[in-house]
Amino acid sequence: MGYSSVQSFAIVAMRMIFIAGVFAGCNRSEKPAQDKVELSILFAPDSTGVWRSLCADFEKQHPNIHVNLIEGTASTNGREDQYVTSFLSGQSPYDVIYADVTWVPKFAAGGWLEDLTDRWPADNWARFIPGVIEGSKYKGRIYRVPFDIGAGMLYYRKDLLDAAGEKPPETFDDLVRISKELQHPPSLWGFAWQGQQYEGLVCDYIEILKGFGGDWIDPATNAVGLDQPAAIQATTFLRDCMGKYGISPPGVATYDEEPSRQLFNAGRAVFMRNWPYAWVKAQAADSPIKGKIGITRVPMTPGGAHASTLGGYGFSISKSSPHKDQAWLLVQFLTQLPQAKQVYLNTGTLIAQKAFYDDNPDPAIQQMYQVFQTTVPRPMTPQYAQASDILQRHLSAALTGLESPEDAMKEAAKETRLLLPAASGKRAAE
Amino acid sequence: MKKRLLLHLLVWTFTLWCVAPFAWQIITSLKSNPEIAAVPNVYLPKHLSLEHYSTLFWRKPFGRYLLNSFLISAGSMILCLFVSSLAAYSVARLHVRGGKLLLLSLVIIALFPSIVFFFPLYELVRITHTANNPIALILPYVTFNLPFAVLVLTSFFRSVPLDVEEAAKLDGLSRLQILFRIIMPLAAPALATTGILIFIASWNEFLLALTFMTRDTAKTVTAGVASLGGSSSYDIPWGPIAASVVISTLPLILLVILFQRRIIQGLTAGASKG
Amino acid sequence: MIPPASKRPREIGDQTFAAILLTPAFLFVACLAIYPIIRVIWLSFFTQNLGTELHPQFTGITNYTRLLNDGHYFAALRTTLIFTFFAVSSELILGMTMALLLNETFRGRSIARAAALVPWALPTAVLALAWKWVFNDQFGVFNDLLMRLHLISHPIAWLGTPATALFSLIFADVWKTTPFMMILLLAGLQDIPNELYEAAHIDGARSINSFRLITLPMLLPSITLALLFRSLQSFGIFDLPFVMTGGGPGGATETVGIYTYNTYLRYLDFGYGSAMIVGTTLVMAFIAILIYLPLSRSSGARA
Repeated sequence: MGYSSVQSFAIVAMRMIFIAGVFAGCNRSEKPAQDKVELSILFAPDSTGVWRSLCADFEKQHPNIHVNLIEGTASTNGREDQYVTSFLSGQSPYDVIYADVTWVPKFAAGGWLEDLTDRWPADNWARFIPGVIEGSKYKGRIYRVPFDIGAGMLYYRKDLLDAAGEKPPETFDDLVRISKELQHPPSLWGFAWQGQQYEGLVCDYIEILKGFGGDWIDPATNAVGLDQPAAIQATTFLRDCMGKYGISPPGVATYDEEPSRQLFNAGRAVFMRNWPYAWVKAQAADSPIKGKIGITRVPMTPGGAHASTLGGYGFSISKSSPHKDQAWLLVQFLTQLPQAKQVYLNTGTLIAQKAFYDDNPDPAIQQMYQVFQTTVPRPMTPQYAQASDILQRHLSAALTGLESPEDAMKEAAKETRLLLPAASGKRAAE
Repeated sequence: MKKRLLLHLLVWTFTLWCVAPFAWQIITSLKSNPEIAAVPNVYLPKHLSLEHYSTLFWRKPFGRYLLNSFLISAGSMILCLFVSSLAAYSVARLHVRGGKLLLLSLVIIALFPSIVFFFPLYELVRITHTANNPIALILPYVTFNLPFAVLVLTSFFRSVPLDVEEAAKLDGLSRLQILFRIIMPLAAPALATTGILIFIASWNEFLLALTFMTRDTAKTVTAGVASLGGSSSYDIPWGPIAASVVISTLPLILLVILFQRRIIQGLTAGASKG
Repeated sequence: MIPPASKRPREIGDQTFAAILLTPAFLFVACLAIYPIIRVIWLSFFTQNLGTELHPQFTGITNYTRLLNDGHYFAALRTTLIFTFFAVSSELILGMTMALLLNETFRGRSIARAAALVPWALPTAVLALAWKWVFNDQFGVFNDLLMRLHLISHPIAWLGTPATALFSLIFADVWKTTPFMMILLLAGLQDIPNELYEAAHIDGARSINSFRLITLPMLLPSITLALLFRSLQSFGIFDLPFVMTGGGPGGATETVGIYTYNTYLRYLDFGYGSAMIVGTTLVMAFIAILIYLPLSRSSGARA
């Protein structure tokens, strides 16, 4: 093929691509304007189709409202970025927001969420688990109607503990003692958890921190508790799990949810800290540990409390939406118990409403419900993401031996204080 | 003789290396899913399939992406050529005051990565409510390409012999007429070369396109494609992604084949004047 | 300043005409380049983030104090420096080699040159996806080739471990930029008059010496320019790491560009992000001086 033939081919090809592009663009014409109100919501991938069918049900009840369910990326961060950029550009197309619990302070502080406190009176909140309501508030006002709940739990091998005549551990000392007693590494470890440098590490840490009676950030005063003895003890405990106590595999410092779950699922750990989804996987037909596990609250010390990091989604309304009343109808509809139950049946997502657990025969669900009573949200400060980043880095440094727990926590505290404004513009130290 | 062979070998290895990732995307985009996931890799697929291409256009407004890219790149190119040729002529021929200042600021601007300008430009977009409007990208692209365009065109205009303009002046043509009827046609090759480079640079820009265009139908093909694969590692549709890579880059490949010599001329001219 | 006779303005308006022609460019530069730079510097002295509910508050050098204590920033800076150093030196050496090779005429040379343009012409962000696939741990062709050549026995998780992820990033960047470097150096090579080489050859010089004594010195201006330009560009790199690794795993490939972008758009910490840009620009200026001074002195010495 001569050079000029290549050129002619190229020119023709370019013309064709351009024309095809124009046609393809034209074919995707917008829907003709109707007398309907259209509500848009950016959602996670709806692989089971249950959400689409719920929206269709809603449309049947409200014929003049059309719900545009946009499926976004599976990554929570990815969807958060999409929401943020659309809000910042001032032309957000979204009316309803499928909001993760960590987004509430951030979006509310940015002025993008409609304050629902007046629309949704407090007596209505009683049907929800208290922790999720806390996780939907910012500065005392409520911005999100919760839908589901995720919480960190301690899974344990019931069969192994029963055989040794042990009860599930209440304190960290119990956890260590039973682990040492029952484990024989490397085929069976004591305690699997998430030690990688990411948000999950912080979730694990909060539970230990509260267990030791410590505090991270008090959003009301922006006081930072990371260099207090309790925080240093909590960090030291996690590090010692791999080191001094030897109850966790050294690789735990690289684990996120999946590797830790896989270890436990293969029957190679006595205890695991993880989210509710691990239960569903453990009960699969081919799971080696099916029927052998129990769930309990994360341990504590006498000076602390049982704590379980709160996760989960809910629905908020965009402050700039022109259809807030219709959006509110949709939100109320989706969060009614029958609709919520449908989602649970299709996807296994656990509902945040008390009624769901009241007469549920499944003992595992009841055990989880006990854990849900101890949920704590991550610090509800708008700058949570940056605070989490600081803590993650220093925790990871402590776990991998790059810094001592004390130095790591002191550095983390210092950086966090530089990050957060002191309340009411005065320096917190004064 | 051996040296010659080694030379050829090295050059052809280099050539292959230059096109390899792209060629691999072409092959992947034509494979069926089982062959994509086959280990060890299948290099010559047994079953060719266009399914990924049709999936692509069905799931995403890819035609719109291409159209947007085309409009924005062409718009930036035309506007930038216009502005830069006026400025270049002014600096080269008319020895305008402030010309040196302009050239200096242009060189300094060219050294900054676009993240430096990004946020204030974003603020401007918000204030003027031009998010998702092509103009929000065209104007910054013109600015980013001005340094290169002005430098190249200035040196070009300096090389045009004076007698051409002197003759035109004697013929009684006004300055504007000289500029547009005599100089510009002469500059056509330089304008074409510079124009192609501006087009390519605008097509490839990512940071602003990603942030300023939030609505799916307003995205350029570069931002649209990159957001296809941007999330977690589970369930990434590698077939359609490969198809999208091929489609979004095909126009550029064609440009390169068509205008290879010009592009190299333009790049080296810009470099030596810089 | 009296204009030379051949350019003496015929009418008073000549300078005005010129100024009018210059105006559009000045406007663009003033509004969309100069203004943003000033705005960034201005904003760096304010705190405007979610803590202030996105209202700006003047806080002086607070952002800079915070920057100096920001472990994350210094980690990103280190990553960026390592990346820039290895990427730019690799592409210089490879580009130089290829330029020397392509300097000879041979059949198919124009195909090689067209191929060399492909990496430069294609959008980095889109090709980053192609690289992600190449370096995929399970199905990637990089592992496949290495295993077929028996260089490794198990697939390596290139983008999953910190050190290998940075390597993959550098590899992809070198692929993209080497051809451009090659074209620049090739142009410089072709400017060197052949007589110099012939004279050296007659004097009995070996090719490696003529490279050292003729080629390198004559190319030094081109090399300096390319090095300077590419180092600064590399320092601000965003597209490639953003799409290929997102800055992961665990921040191992998080360049300053990505951290700045996240600071602006994920953390919504506008004032702090601006301070970060100012700080990074100072670092870049320092590096530019480090590169430029020794090289310009030696090329000056030879003149």
